[in-house]
Amino acid sequence: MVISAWSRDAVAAAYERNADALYRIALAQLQNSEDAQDAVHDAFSRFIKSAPSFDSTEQERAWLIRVTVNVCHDLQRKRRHRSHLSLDDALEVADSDTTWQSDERNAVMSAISQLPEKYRAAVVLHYLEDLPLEKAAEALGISGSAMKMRLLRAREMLQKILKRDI
Amino acid sequence: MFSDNEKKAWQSISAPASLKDKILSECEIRPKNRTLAPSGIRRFGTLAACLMIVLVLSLAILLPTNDSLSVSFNGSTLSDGSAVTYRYDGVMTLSRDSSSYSMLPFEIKGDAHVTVEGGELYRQDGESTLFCDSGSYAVRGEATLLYRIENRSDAVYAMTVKSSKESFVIEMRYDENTNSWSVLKTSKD
Repeated sequence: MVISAWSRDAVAAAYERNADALYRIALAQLQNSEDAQDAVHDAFSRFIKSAPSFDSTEQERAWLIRVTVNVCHDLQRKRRHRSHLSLDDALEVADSDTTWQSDERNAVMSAISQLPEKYRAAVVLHYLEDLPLEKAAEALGISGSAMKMRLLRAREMLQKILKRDI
Repeated sequence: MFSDNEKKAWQSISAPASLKDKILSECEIRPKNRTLAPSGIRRFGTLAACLMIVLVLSLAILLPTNDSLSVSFNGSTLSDGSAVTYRYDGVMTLSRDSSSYSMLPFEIKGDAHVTVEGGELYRQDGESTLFCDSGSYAVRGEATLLYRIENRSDAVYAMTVKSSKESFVIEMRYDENTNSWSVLKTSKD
Protein backbone atom coordinates (compact mmCIF):
# COMPACT_ATOMS: atom_id res chain seq x y z
CA MET A 1 0.00 0.00 0.00
CA VAL A 2 1.18 3.49 -0.77
CA ILE A 3 1.02 6.14 1.90
CA SER A 4 1.22 9.46 0.26
CA ALA A 5 1.98 12.95 1.43
CA TRP A 6 -0.61 14.04 -1.07
CA SER A 7 -4.20 14.43 0.00
CA ARG A 8 -6.85 12.53 -1.87
CA ASP A 9 -8.39 15.85 -2.93
CA ALA A 10 -5.12 17.10 -4.44
CA VAL A 11 -4.68 13.91 -6.45
CA ALA A 12 -8.34 13.98 -7.51
CA ALA A 13 -7.92 17.56 -8.74
CA ALA A 14 -4.76 16.66 -10.68
CA TYR A 15 -6.60 13.68 -12.12
CA GLU A 16 -9.52 15.82 -13.30
CA ARG A 17 -7.11 18.28 -14.93
CA ASN A 18 -4.96 15.75 -16.74
CA ALA A 19 -6.27 12.19 -16.88
CA ASP A 20 -8.25 12.40 -20.12
CA ALA A 21 -5.36 13.97 -22.05
CA LEU A 22 -2.87 11.49 -20.57
CA TYR A 23 -5.16 8.61 -21.47
CA ARG A 24 -5.42 9.83 -25.06
CA ILE A 25 -1.64 10.24 -25.31
CA ALA A 26 -1.11 6.74 -23.93
CA LEU A 27 -3.81 5.33 -26.21
CA ALA A 28 -2.12 6.85 -29.25
CA GLN A 29 1.22 5.39 -28.18
CA LEU A 30 0.05 1.96 -27.14
CA GLN A 31 -3.06 1.49 -29.32
CA ASN A 32 -4.68 -0.48 -26.55
CA SER A 33 -7.08 0.79 -23.89
CA GLU A 34 -5.97 -1.62 -21.19
CA ASP A 35 -2.32 -0.70 -21.63
CA ALA A 36 -3.20 3.00 -21.82
CA GLN A 37 -5.02 2.74 -18.49
CA ASP A 38 -2.02 0.95 -16.99
CA ALA A 39 0.26 3.73 -18.23
CA VAL A 40 -1.90 6.50 -16.74
CA HIS A 41 -2.24 4.54 -13.52
CA ASP A 42 1.52 4.10 -13.33
CA ALA A 43 2.12 7.80 -14.02
CA PHE A 44 -0.24 8.82 -11.22
CA SER A 45 1.29 6.24 -8.86
CA ARG A 46 4.65 7.94 -9.39
CA PHE A 47 2.98 11.30 -8.91
CA ILE A 48 1.53 10.15 -5.58
CA LYS A 49 4.77 8.51 -4.44
CA SER A 50 7.15 11.31 -5.35
CA ALA A 51 4.71 14.15 -4.50
CA PRO A 52 6.46 16.68 -6.71
CA SER A 53 5.71 20.37 -6.28
CA PHE A 54 4.87 22.65 -9.19
CA ASP A 55 4.53 26.37 -9.70
CA SER A 56 1.66 25.98 -12.13
CA THR A 57 -0.78 23.47 -13.54
CA GLU A 58 1.13 23.66 -16.86
CA GLN A 59 4.25 22.41 -15.09
CA GLU A 60 2.22 19.68 -13.46
CA ARG A 61 0.80 18.64 -16.85
CA ALA A 62 4.26 18.67 -18.47
CA TRP A 63 5.61 16.43 -15.69
CA LEU A 64 2.74 13.99 -15.99
CA ILE A 65 2.98 13.86 -19.78
CA ARG A 66 6.71 13.19 -19.61
CA VAL A 67 6.26 10.39 -17.10
CA THR A 68 3.36 8.92 -19.10
CA VAL A 69 5.39 8.94 -22.32
CA ASN A 70 8.31 7.25 -20.52
CA VAL A 71 5.97 4.66 -19.01
CA CYS A 72 4.53 4.02 -22.47
CA HIS A 73 8.04 3.39 -23.85
CA ASP A 74 8.64 0.88 -21.07
CA LEU A 75 5.27 -0.84 -21.64
CA GLN A 76 5.86 -0.99 -25.39
CA ARG A 77 9.07 -2.87 -24.79
CA LYS A 78 7.49 -5.28 -22.32
CA ARG A 79 4.22 -5.96 -24.11
CA ARG A 80 5.07 -6.13 -27.77
CA HIS A 81 3.73 -9.65 -28.00
CA ARG A 82 0.21 -8.67 -26.92
CA SER A 83 -2.48 -8.30 -29.56
CA HIS A 84 -4.40 -5.07 -29.92
CA LEU A 85 -8.01 -4.73 -28.90
CA SER A 86 -10.51 -3.30 -31.30
CA LEU A 87 -10.45 0.46 -30.94
CA ASP A 88 -14.24 0.62 -30.83
CA ASP A 89 -14.15 -1.69 -27.84
CA ALA A 90 -11.25 0.18 -26.34
CA LEU A 91 -12.61 3.69 -26.41
CA GLU A 92 -15.03 4.84 -23.78
CA VAL A 93 -17.84 6.56 -25.63
CA ALA A 94 -19.32 9.62 -24.04
CA ASP A 95 -23.12 9.89 -23.72
CA SER A 96 -23.18 12.77 -26.15
CA ASP A 97 -21.17 10.84 -28.70
CA THR A 98 -22.46 10.69 -32.24
CA THR A 99 -21.70 8.46 -35.19
CA TRP A 100 -19.65 11.10 -36.97
CA GLN A 101 -17.50 11.51 -33.88
CA SER A 102 -16.89 7.80 -33.75
CA ASP A 103 -15.93 7.76 -37.44
CA GLU A 104 -13.68 10.80 -37.12
CA ARG A 105 -12.06 9.39 -34.03
CA ASN A 106 -11.32 6.08 -35.64
CA ALA A 107 -9.91 7.88 -38.68
CA VAL A 108 -7.55 9.89 -36.46
CA MET A 109 -6.56 6.85 -34.44
CA SER A 110 -5.99 4.81 -37.56
CA ALA A 111 -3.77 7.51 -39.07
CA ILE A 112 -1.75 7.81 -35.86
CA SER A 113 -1.37 4.06 -35.55
CA GLN A 114 0.33 4.02 -38.96
CA LEU A 115 3.02 6.43 -37.77
CA PRO A 116 6.21 5.03 -36.25
CA GLU A 117 6.05 5.13 -32.44
CA LYS A 118 8.63 7.90 -32.26
CA TYR A 119 6.33 10.37 -34.04
CA ARG A 120 3.00 9.55 -32.41
CA ALA A 121 3.43 11.48 -29.17
CA ALA A 122 4.76 14.54 -31.01
CA VAL A 123 1.72 14.64 -33.32
CA VAL A 124 -0.77 14.03 -30.54
CA LEU A 125 0.70 16.64 -28.19
CA HIS A 126 1.05 19.39 -30.74
CA TYR A 127 -1.74 18.83 -33.25
CA LEU A 128 -4.43 17.13 -31.20
CA GLU A 129 -3.83 18.29 -27.62
CA ASP A 130 -2.86 21.80 -28.78
CA LEU A 131 0.34 22.03 -26.73
CA PRO A 132 2.67 24.78 -28.03
CA LEU A 133 5.73 23.35 -29.77
CA GLU A 134 8.15 24.28 -26.96
CA LYS A 135 5.91 22.80 -24.27
CA ALA A 136 5.44 19.61 -26.26
CA ALA A 137 9.20 19.33 -26.81
CA GLU A 138 9.78 19.90 -23.11
CA ALA A 139 7.25 17.23 -22.21
CA LEU A 140 8.99 14.76 -24.53
CA GLY A 141 12.42 15.75 -23.23
CA ILE A 142 13.72 16.77 -26.65
CA SER A 143 14.94 20.05 -28.10
CA GLY A 144 12.69 22.43 -30.04
CA SER A 145 14.57 21.71 -33.26
CA ALA A 146 14.25 17.95 -32.79
CA MET A 147 10.53 18.46 -32.21
CA LYS A 148 10.21 20.51 -35.39
CA MET A 149 12.00 17.79 -37.34
CA ARG A 150 9.72 15.11 -35.92
CA LEU A 151 6.61 17.10 -36.80
CA LEU A 152 7.90 17.75 -40.31
CA ARG A 153 8.51 14.05 -40.94
CA ALA A 154 5.22 13.10 -39.30
CA ARG A 155 3.35 15.58 -41.52
CA GLU A 156 4.94 14.06 -44.60
CA MET A 157 3.87 10.60 -43.51
CA LEU A 158 0.37 11.72 -42.56
CA GLN A 159 -0.01 13.42 -45.91
CA LYS A 160 0.42 10.03 -47.56
CA ILE A 161 -1.73 8.24 -45.00
CA LEU A 162 -4.60 10.73 -45.09
CA LYS A 163 -4.12 11.42 -48.81
CA ARG A 164 -4.72 15.14 -48.39
CA ASP A 165 -2.80 18.38 -48.47
CA ILE A 166 -1.63 19.37 -45.02
CA MET B 1 -3.17 18.89 -40.03
CA PHE B 2 -6.41 17.53 -38.63
CA SER B 3 -9.83 19.08 -39.18
CA ASP B 4 -11.75 20.69 -36.33
CA ASN B 5 -14.18 17.78 -36.35
CA GLU B 6 -11.34 15.29 -36.10
CA LYS B 7 -9.79 17.23 -33.21
CA LYS B 8 -13.14 17.51 -31.46
CA ALA B 9 -13.75 13.80 -31.89
CA TRP B 10 -10.26 13.02 -30.60
CA GLN B 11 -10.68 15.25 -27.56
CA SER B 12 -13.98 13.54 -26.75
CA ILE B 13 -12.05 10.41 -25.78
CA SER B 14 -12.03 10.21 -22.01
CA ALA B 15 -10.35 7.95 -19.51
CA PRO B 16 -12.62 5.17 -18.21
CA ALA B 17 -14.38 6.15 -14.98
CA SER B 18 -13.05 3.09 -13.17
CA LEU B 19 -9.49 4.38 -13.56
CA LYS B 20 -10.11 7.31 -11.21
CA ASP B 21 -11.24 5.06 -8.34
CA LYS B 22 -8.26 2.78 -8.93
CA ILE B 23 -5.83 5.70 -8.73
CA LEU B 24 -7.47 7.45 -5.80
CA SER B 25 -7.50 4.23 -3.79
CA GLU B 26 -3.72 4.57 -3.63
CA CYS B 27 -4.09 7.75 -1.59
CA GLU B 28 -6.04 6.07 1.15
CA ILE B 29 -4.31 5.27 4.39
CA ARG B 30 -5.89 2.37 6.17
CA PRO B 31 -6.27 2.90 9.92
CA LYS B 32 -4.30 0.38 11.94
CA ASN B 33 -6.14 -2.03 14.19
CA ARG B 34 -5.51 -0.95 17.76
CA THR B 35 -5.69 -3.15 20.81
CA LEU B 36 -5.26 -1.57 24.22
CA ALA B 37 -2.78 -3.12 26.64
CA PRO B 38 -3.55 -3.31 30.39
CA SER B 39 -3.00 -0.03 32.28
CA GLY B 40 0.19 -1.20 34.09
CA ILE B 41 1.82 -2.10 30.80
CA ARG B 42 0.61 1.17 29.28
CA ARG B 43 2.20 3.17 32.12
CA PHE B 44 5.46 1.26 31.70
CA GLY B 45 5.26 1.80 27.94
CA THR B 46 4.75 5.56 28.43
CA LEU B 47 7.75 5.73 30.75
CA ALA B 48 9.88 3.72 28.32
CA ALA B 49 8.77 5.96 25.45
CA CYS B 50 9.72 9.11 27.44
CA LEU B 51 13.13 7.66 28.24
CA MET B 52 13.60 6.74 24.60
CA ILE B 53 12.75 10.28 23.49
CA VAL B 54 15.27 11.73 25.98
CA LEU B 55 17.88 9.26 24.74
CA VAL B 56 17.22 10.03 21.07
CA LEU B 57 17.31 13.79 21.68
CA SER B 58 20.60 13.45 23.60
CA LEU B 59 22.10 11.39 20.79
CA ALA B 60 20.85 13.88 18.21
CA ILE B 61 22.64 16.67 20.05
CA LEU B 62 25.83 14.77 20.80
CA LEU B 63 26.37 12.75 17.64
CA PRO B 64 27.28 14.27 14.28
CA THR B 65 24.30 14.23 11.94
CA ASN B 66 24.25 12.78 8.45
CA ASP B 67 22.53 15.77 6.87
CA SER B 68 25.08 16.44 4.18
CA LEU B 69 24.19 14.77 0.95
CA SER B 70 26.47 14.10 -1.96
CA VAL B 71 26.06 12.18 -5.17
CA SER B 72 28.91 10.84 -7.19
CA PHE B 73 28.54 9.55 -10.69
CA ASN B 74 31.10 7.10 -11.95
CA GLY B 75 33.54 8.35 -9.29
CA SER B 76 33.06 12.09 -9.85
CA THR B 77 31.04 14.20 -7.42
CA LEU B 78 28.16 15.86 -9.24
CA SER B 79 27.84 19.59 -8.79
CA ASP B 80 24.90 21.81 -9.72
CA GLY B 81 24.62 22.75 -13.36
CA SER B 82 27.77 21.08 -14.66
CA ALA B 83 27.14 18.05 -16.84
CA VAL B 84 29.28 14.93 -16.72
CA THR B 85 29.69 12.90 -19.89
CA TYR B 86 29.82 9.13 -19.66
CA ARG B 87 30.37 6.49 -22.25
CA TYR B 88 29.05 3.12 -21.13
CA ASP B 89 31.45 0.30 -21.93
CA GLY B 90 28.93 -2.50 -21.36
CA VAL B 91 30.88 -4.20 -18.57
CA MET B 92 28.13 -4.20 -15.95
CA THR B 93 25.41 -5.87 -17.94
CA LEU B 94 22.43 -7.58 -16.42
CA SER B 95 21.75 -9.95 -19.33
CA ARG B 96 19.40 -9.03 -22.21
CA ASP B 97 20.43 -6.92 -25.21
CA SER B 98 23.19 -5.04 -23.42
CA SER B 99 24.07 -3.12 -26.56
CA SER B 100 20.95 -0.97 -26.37
CA TYR B 101 21.06 -0.39 -22.62
CA SER B 102 23.46 1.34 -20.27
CA MET B 103 24.07 0.84 -16.59
CA LEU B 104 24.84 4.18 -14.93
CA PRO B 105 26.64 3.99 -11.57
CA PHE B 106 25.74 6.45 -8.78
CA GLU B 107 27.09 6.65 -5.26
CA ILE B 108 24.88 8.41 -2.74
CA LYS B 109 26.29 9.58 0.61
CA GLY B 110 23.80 10.73 3.24
CA ASP B 111 20.24 9.83 4.16
CA ALA B 112 18.01 10.28 1.15
CA HIS B 113 15.14 8.89 -0.82
CA VAL B 114 15.99 8.14 -4.44
CA THR B 115 13.27 7.77 -7.08
CA VAL B 116 13.60 7.17 -10.82
CA GLU B 117 11.21 7.67 -13.71
CA GLY B 118 11.41 4.87 -16.25
CA GLY B 119 14.30 2.44 -16.52
CA GLU B 120 15.28 0.06 -13.75
CA LEU B 121 16.98 0.88 -10.46
CA TYR B 122 19.37 -1.57 -8.80
CA ARG B 123 21.40 -1.36 -5.62
CA GLN B 124 24.75 -2.92 -5.04
CA ASP B 125 24.84 -5.07 -1.92
CA GLY B 126 28.31 -6.57 -1.59
CA GLU B 127 28.70 -8.87 -4.57
CA SER B 128 24.99 -8.85 -5.35
CA THR B 129 23.02 -6.47 -7.55
CA LEU B 130 19.46 -6.21 -6.27
CA PHE B 131 16.51 -4.87 -8.23
CA CYS B 132 14.51 -2.06 -6.54
CA ASP B 133 11.13 -3.01 -7.97
CA SER B 134 9.32 0.13 -6.79
CA GLY B 135 11.73 2.34 -8.74
CA SER B 136 12.85 3.93 -5.51
CA TYR B 137 15.29 3.29 -2.69
CA ALA B 138 15.82 4.83 0.75
CA VAL B 139 19.54 5.37 1.28
CA ARG B 140 20.77 5.25 4.86
CA GLY B 141 24.31 6.54 5.14
CA GLU B 142 25.73 5.33 1.85
CA ALA B 143 24.69 3.28 -1.15
CA THR B 144 25.81 2.41 -4.64
CA LEU B 145 22.94 2.48 -7.09
CA LEU B 146 22.89 1.34 -10.69
CA TYR B 147 20.39 2.83 -13.09
CA ARG B 148 19.70 0.67 -16.15
CA ILE B 149 18.25 2.68 -19.00
CA GLU B 150 17.75 2.34 -22.68
CA ASN B 151 20.11 4.16 -25.06
CA ARG B 152 17.45 6.51 -26.45
CA SER B 153 18.23 9.97 -27.66
CA ASP B 154 14.55 10.93 -27.61
CA ALA B 155 14.02 10.39 -23.88
CA VAL B 156 15.24 12.13 -20.75
CA TYR B 157 15.63 9.93 -17.71
CA ALA B 158 15.42 11.54 -14.29
CA MET B 159 16.50 10.54 -10.83
CA THR B 160 15.13 12.50 -7.89
CA VAL B 161 17.17 12.57 -4.70
CA LYS B 162 15.45 13.97 -1.61
CA SER B 163 16.86 14.36 1.86
CA SER B 164 15.31 16.15 4.82
CA LYS B 165 17.17 19.33 3.90
CA GLU B 166 17.64 19.32 0.15
CA SER B 167 16.26 17.92 -3.00
CA PHE B 168 17.65 17.67 -6.49
CA VAL B 169 17.07 16.05 -9.83
CA ILE B 170 19.68 14.31 -11.95
CA GLU B 171 18.80 14.26 -15.62
CA MET B 172 20.33 11.82 -18.08
CA ARG B 173 20.32 12.37 -21.83
CA TYR B 174 21.76 10.02 -24.40
CA ASP B 175 23.64 11.26 -27.44
CA GLU B 176 23.49 8.60 -30.14
CA ASN B 177 26.17 10.34 -32.18
CA THR B 178 28.80 9.96 -29.51
CA ASN B 179 27.18 6.93 -27.87
CA SER B 180 27.50 8.67 -24.52
CA TRP B 181 25.35 9.93 -21.66
CA SER B 182 25.23 13.45 -20.32
CA VAL B 183 24.42 13.55 -16.61
CA LEU B 184 23.29 16.84 -15.09
CA LYS B 185 22.40 17.62 -11.49
CA THR B 186 19.98 20.43 -10.72
CA SER B 187 18.88 21.54 -7.25
CA LYS B 188 15.18 21.95 -6.57
CA ASP B 189 13.82 24.78 -4.45
